[in-house]
Amino acid sequence: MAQILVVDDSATVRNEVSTFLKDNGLSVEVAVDGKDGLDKLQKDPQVKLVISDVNMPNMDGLTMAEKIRSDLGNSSVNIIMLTTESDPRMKERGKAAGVKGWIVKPFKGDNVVGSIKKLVG
Amino acid sequence: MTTKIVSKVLVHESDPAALELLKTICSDNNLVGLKVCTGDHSVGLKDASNELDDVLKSNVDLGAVFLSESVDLNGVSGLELCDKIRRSRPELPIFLRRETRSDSEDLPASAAKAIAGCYQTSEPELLTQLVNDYICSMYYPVELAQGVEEISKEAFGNVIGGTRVKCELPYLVKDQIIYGELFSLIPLESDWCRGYMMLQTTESEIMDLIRSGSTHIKSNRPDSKDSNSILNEITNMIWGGIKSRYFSSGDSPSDAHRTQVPIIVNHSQKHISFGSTEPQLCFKYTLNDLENYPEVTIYQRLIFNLSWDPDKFAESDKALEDLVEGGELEFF
Repeated sequence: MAQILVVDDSATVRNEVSTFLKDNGLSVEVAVDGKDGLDKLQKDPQVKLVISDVNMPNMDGLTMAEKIRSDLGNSSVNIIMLTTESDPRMKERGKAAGVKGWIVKPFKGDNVVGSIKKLVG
Repeated sequence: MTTKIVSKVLVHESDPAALELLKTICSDNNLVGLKVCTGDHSVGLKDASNELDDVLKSNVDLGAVFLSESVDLNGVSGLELCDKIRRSRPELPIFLRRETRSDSEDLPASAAKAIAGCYQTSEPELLTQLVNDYICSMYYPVELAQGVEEISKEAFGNVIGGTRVKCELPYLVKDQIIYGELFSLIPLESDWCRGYMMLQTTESEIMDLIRSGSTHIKSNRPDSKDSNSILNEITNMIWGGIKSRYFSSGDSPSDAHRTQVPIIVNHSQKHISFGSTEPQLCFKYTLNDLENYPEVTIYQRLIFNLSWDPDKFAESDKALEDLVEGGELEFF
């Protein structure tokens, strides 16, 4: 059972984020796009936090967030977007889908590790 | 940082008066002249065909070529080279200096077809007009060039730990030659521009970079998926930075008016065409950390082939006020 699901189409970012989180004692699963993220979350509903990119092939991160709430009926998992996007309209869409927070890349783990630990309890 | 936008031009000329004129024209129009032939015998073309090929192959980012009708010190005339250059680099405008007239009507058809314009040494205004028409025909704000350079350097630093990044002055390019084997394309779309950003590099340099451990991909035997991933992330970060800084909210072009043109890639000629012949804005970055990996060269081009309205760019400065600090978690 993983505590955190990292969803990003970039292997570079998946490696960077998951390595950092594991080094901080957290268990991590990774997915390559929104569709894969939904599948992984369905198989492991105990995940406490999803950290996801927005722009990905097959299914984008915001659509995945909406489907986590609607299709999977999972209202408890925390979702944070990690993206180069900072468009307020996208953030609004994220809020409406129950996204908890927004990080504009680059990922600076030391800045956010405390908050992430709180979210996974 | 003082930024100006330049353009690299190839000069095959041996007449002292013509060289003096070209020097002035280059200086006045921010052109960087790359001399193929000067008054010095040692620099001249001994075997025009082969040497020109070498020069063209090692300069894939040119804005134009200046040739001369009169023979150089090795007996080679620009007329002999026109057709050859046109066949290998049809997008490059060729300007031919002539001795007694300023048109191409009496020239062989193949040469006339290859030439964008003719001039005489006594006609600096005509040459200036040709430069304006063919090289400086698209205005790019210096602020945009500065901003793109800053954003790109930051992105390189974020993806590649400890790298030093050097960037030449941004320049205008007519060439459509592809550098290296690896390139990325991502659309740039707002109400003041529509086109693409393209990054080009060599796969071997990126592989060396990964092997050095300077990226987040830890592998001694990286494969093409790894090199693609590095270029993907660099592209994504630069794109996000440009979008955040210059494309303010609500300024996307209407879906109803979205035109598209095919992008043609010719692998045998190593050539990519976006349909437009306007000059592209190009940046050449050199990344190094000599203790860990050899230099990596990355060419970045902005190609606004679908729409370009630099007057509206000035109004988009508003986005600067909305800059978001990267790496911070914003809770909703």
